[in-house]
Amino acid sequence: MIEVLEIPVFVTNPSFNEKYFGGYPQLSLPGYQNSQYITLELDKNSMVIIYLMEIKDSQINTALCDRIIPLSPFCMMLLDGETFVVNNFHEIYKERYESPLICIYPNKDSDFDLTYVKNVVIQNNKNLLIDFDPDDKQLLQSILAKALKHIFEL
Amino acid sequence: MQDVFIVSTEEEQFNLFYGNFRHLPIHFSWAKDLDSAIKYLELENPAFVFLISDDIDLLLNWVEKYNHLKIKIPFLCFTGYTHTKQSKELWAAGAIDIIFLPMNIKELEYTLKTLVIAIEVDKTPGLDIVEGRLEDFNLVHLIQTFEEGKKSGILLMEDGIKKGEVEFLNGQVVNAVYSNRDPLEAVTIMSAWKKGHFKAKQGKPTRRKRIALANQQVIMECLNYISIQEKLLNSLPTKNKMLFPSPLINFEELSPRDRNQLLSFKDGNTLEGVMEMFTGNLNQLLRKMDKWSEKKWLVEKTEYNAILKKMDAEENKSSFKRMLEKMFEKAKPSNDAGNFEAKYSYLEKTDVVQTVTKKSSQFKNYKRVGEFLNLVEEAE
Repeated sequence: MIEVLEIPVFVTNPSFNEKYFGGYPQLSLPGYQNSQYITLELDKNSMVIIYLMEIKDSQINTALCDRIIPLSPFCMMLLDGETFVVNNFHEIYKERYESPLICIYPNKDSDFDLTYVKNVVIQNNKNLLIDFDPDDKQLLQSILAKALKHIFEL
Repeated sequence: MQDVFIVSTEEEQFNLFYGNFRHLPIHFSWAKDLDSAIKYLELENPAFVFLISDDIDLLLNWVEKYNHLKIKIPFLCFTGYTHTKQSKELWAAGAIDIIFLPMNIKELEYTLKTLVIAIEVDKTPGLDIVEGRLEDFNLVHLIQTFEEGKKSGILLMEDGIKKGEVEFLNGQVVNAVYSNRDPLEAVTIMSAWKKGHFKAKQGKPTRRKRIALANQQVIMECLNYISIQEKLLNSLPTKNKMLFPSPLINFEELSPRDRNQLLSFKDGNTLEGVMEMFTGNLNQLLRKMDKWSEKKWLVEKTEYNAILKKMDAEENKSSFKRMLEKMFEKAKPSNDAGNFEAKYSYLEKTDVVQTVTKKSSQFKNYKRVGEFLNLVEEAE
């Protein structure tokens, strides 16, 4: 039996899917515009599915999210694009879901304002802020390693 | 869209229809007399021909000629006041209806809607009827079936006293009606019906499109609703256990809806009995009931009797003793926590709202996270 971990990653703009995760083959999620997924096979019995989901006008696509988020060990939010969209999204997320939120941000060429994330989001011990190198070929693996370690230690 | 061919010597009559009823799904064409109309009837093949004239003799001539040529397109006659005898002749000649002009515009519009548009819906080809039990196929299966066949039509659903409809256009859910619910909510509620019957009628939907979501999203909403309902049902007492409202409840403090719902248990009722009679959003009721059983507002017979007995004993105490107890109530530590909680539970309304909308994390297998962590670190 194949063990699967499903992790949603929220992005403010679908162009970031290519910008940051272009090194991984992406498939589109049938029926959901601008939503892609990446499969990472860790060994023949274990697989991680990463859902790249667009935050549309800072709203949550409840139908899909309600199915995936409660069953995921955590969710990720990519900090790039409009700061207020990300911040609004967090407000909605924390009202609706209890799953930990891992914020990931590129450690270069980004002018994203981290004030809100540092002062509000990660004040909840379950949440975490992780920086990553956008040129890293093993980007998702390194983010996942840090995120899983955090969740395991909770 | 229906095509209607107007035959009238006066263009004014054509303008009456064309000018006033452009918003209806009817396309009007006009010919000055029957001879010119006949040339076009075969080409245009309209659904109806309107023969309009104040001159009853001319109208009778047209009708005679129309029948003589064996034209099979149904026709309506519009004329001024006629004697019964002449009207009878028109009826006998096969006119669908005889309408007397002038007529109020609203009335005329109604006539067009009932005679022309309604007939269009009835005439839709392939009016096949499929019936079945909801035990065998629930709404989710039925949506998928409609989608696979790209069928248009109406699905009539029935579960006891509850009745609803779902409309499809080319396999896509476009509207739903159940009680006074929003269309999408109506679909999700009906998707959880596990007994009863359905009847699928092929044909064009009669209402306008009110569900914009794709079928897959609708199905996701339905599955979500069903899974929440199953979870709620698992957390509640068994369906056939008799429940009673606790005598400690102060019904005056409740909202009218909560009061009515709790009063449905007044003389004892089972969860199943209440569910059968409930015509609203069942998940909302189940959430409330979950809360009520937690707060001991809904109790079983033995507990109900025990509370009543205790209350009777309280009543029989001497009034002086009761007064003393009341005076020292605040100083006393709360030894009747359940009672206190029941009394002031209305203060927790905000919490209730939050728990209703919040989706708790169901991920518990942290051992698996450890295993994945090792694998990811190895892969790095």
